[in-house]
Amino acid sequence: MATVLDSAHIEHCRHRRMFHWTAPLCTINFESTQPPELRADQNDSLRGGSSPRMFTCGDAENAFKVRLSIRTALGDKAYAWDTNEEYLFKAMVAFSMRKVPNRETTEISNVLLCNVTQRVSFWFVVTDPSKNHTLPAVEIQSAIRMNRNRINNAFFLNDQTLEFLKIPSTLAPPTDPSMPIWIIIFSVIFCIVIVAVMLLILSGIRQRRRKSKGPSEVDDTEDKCENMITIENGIPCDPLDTKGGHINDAFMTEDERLTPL
Amino acid sequence: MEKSRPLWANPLQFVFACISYAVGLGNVWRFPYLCQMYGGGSFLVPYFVMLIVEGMPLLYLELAVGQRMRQGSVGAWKTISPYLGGVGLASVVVSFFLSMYYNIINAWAFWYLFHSFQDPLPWSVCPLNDNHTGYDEECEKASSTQYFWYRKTLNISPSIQDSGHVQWEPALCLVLAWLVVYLCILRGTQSTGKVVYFTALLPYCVLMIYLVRGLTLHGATNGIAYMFTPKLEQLANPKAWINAATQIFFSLGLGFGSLIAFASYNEPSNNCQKHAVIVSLINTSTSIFASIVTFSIYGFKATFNYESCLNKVILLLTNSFDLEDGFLTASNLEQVKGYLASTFPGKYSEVLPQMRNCSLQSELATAVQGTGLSFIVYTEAIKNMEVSQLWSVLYFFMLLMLGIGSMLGNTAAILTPLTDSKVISSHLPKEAISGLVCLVNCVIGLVFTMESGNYWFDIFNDYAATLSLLLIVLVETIAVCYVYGLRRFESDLEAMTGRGLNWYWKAMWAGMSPLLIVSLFVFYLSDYILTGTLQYQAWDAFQGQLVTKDYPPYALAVIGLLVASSTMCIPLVALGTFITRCLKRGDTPPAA
Repeated sequence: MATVLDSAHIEHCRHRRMFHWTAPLCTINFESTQPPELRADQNDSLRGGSSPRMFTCGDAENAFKVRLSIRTALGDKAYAWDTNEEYLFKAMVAFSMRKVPNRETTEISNVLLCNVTQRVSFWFVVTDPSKNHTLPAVEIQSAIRMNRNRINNAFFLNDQTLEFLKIPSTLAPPTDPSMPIWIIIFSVIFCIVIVAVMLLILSGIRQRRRKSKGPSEVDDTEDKCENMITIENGIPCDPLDTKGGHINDAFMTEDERLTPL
Repeated sequence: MEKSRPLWANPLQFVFACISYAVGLGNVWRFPYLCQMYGGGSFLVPYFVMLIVEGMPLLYLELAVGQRMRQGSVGAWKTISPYLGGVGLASVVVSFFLSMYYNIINAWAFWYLFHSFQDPLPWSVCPLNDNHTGYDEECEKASSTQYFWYRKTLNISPSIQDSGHVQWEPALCLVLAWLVVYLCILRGTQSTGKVVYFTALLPYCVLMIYLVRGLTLHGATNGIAYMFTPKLEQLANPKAWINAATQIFFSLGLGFGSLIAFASYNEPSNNCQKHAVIVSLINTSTSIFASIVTFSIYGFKATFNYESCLNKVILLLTNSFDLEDGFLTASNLEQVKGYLASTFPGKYSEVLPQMRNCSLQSELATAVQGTGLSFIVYTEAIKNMEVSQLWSVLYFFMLLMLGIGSMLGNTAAILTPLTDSKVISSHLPKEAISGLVCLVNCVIGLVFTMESGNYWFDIFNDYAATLSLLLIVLVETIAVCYVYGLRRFESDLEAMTGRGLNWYWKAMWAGMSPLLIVSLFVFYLSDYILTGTLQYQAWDAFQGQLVTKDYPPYALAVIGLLVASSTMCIPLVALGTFITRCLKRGDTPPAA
């Protein structure tokens, strides 16, 4: 009976298209107006669950809220969130709890989901199979953290699109190479520059030594424009255009004495 | 044995050297900022006017003086008038200050270049905090690019008083930068002439590549439309005109003595008028070209940030109201917000403080200049591009080329007077003089690698060259026109190049340009005096943003010293020459 009522309301909700919570009639979430046991009961009956549970699903202490952003992650390839996906989720959580050493085996039926919204977001708790209470949050937290990668991969999501609120994800540390890359490149360029500087200095010294050894002209761009300085009476003549004056026309260079033909 | 002056192998080397010197980082990181601040497309009007009235004439003047006198700045101005040797000396002092602090930019460019070979780029992700549950706090508050700049590169201290110690990583990069500069100037014009082919042409190649890439980025048109939409009311703003004049002035590198030095290696018959016009036009068009690239990158970054902001708001609303994933989009956001506000006012008012108001205009309006533009804004845009390593390497390589090209000019301004002076060049070979200059500059430059180094860099950047240059160029113009004589200079030029001087140049040199410079000078002085105390931006690590602080007294003293040491050269040397001459005249006996 409750099922029929709720599915009618679900249809009504879909027509409204927008919100799925505050109007108590039009919601798949259950507000805390209903007694906890019944709520869990209805939850299970909707999903075809079997035995009634005596635990509160939305127990604030040990419940975790999960949020999925499937369309953001997958775009066109997004799958719809239905009961089968929820089953897989329960299975992954049970798997994570099973991986914890020295624990009793957790079954899928120990994992309870509720308050599924269109977002998609829901709350879950893990109950202890024998003792009828929910497992402490710390244990669940560490178990999920250990297997976070596998849970993400099962749904094709990542840490940002499959969020466990209150369970911080371990961020991957940046890969630190043993030697920072920049030092390698720096050393290479540094050595090249030093070698080039040495080469230039040494060739300059060699050129200077060659020049001082003989007065022969060296094939150097700088020396191409060198004028022969004539010395008359022990006084050197400066080329005409470098200094601002003091050229005595009486002193002419050798070739200018002879008039051209 | 005397050597005649070394020459450029061909006039093209000279033009490239001037372009390489003039086209520098200012074209890339200052002009787009000015364009954005002073009316976008309409800023081009005062810019062109100032180019024609101030830039071209003064550039031609300096090239003509250098080519005519065939000496570095000290010798050239001494030849014009013995009392004006101080102008040349002031140019050398300013160039010395400039080369001290300018090369640290090349060091930073090297640092970023070497770090671009990693995947992912180190400034694209925040480092983790100690227990690996979240990101480093400073990085969260600021952004990852700001964190990488302020913490990893500079390791900046909270204020200029906390000097900290020399950081070895930037220090190594600085040493490398100086070695590269030394390699380029080692052989004088012989080596510089070959290097300028690369430093002049390669930045254009990279800018072309970036132009194509930038224009094809998503959201680039937003930036370009924003930039080029003219805001004509800014034409009436005097600050726009003043900034245009200042930008032309400093962008061409007038007054440092580098242009005189380059021109002194010319053949006397070189047509420097044509070259002056070419260089100034190329400089201006490069500025405009670079701002198109910069604004397409701005547009991309702003659009990216705007869309991220929208996505954050969408995520916040989706999570708070448990809406269907993918239901909220940018197009129906406003409508849905209105619905939510009216239907669930209580919950909405809880969520409202966390919602940021996303606005594309405000993202575009964040105008940044200087190192902030290159090392923070551009890196932020680059990290979001595909194959970001390639774009990063290209970009910082271009910055390096621009920076080294300008450094060649700066060092030439210092070295040419030194090598011209017979006292020094007779004792030391050219390589040793260059090496000594580079070594001294490198050692002093280590100050900028300390933790407070960036604050000292800002001091030098803002005050070392600004006022002094205006004074130097003013004295230069007056010296050529009125002390040496405009007619005498005109006949000199005609004899040298074979071409007469157009009336336009004469009118500008004698009248317009000195007036402009005087007005700029007056404006700057009054601006300094009116602002009262000088302030600077310090990085606050706890807030993750810049805060304004006052300079301590000793920093103000350094600023005063910077300005005084260059400007005082002019009157002091004039006075010294006058006194020496008086003494000589008094000493010489009247008859032999």
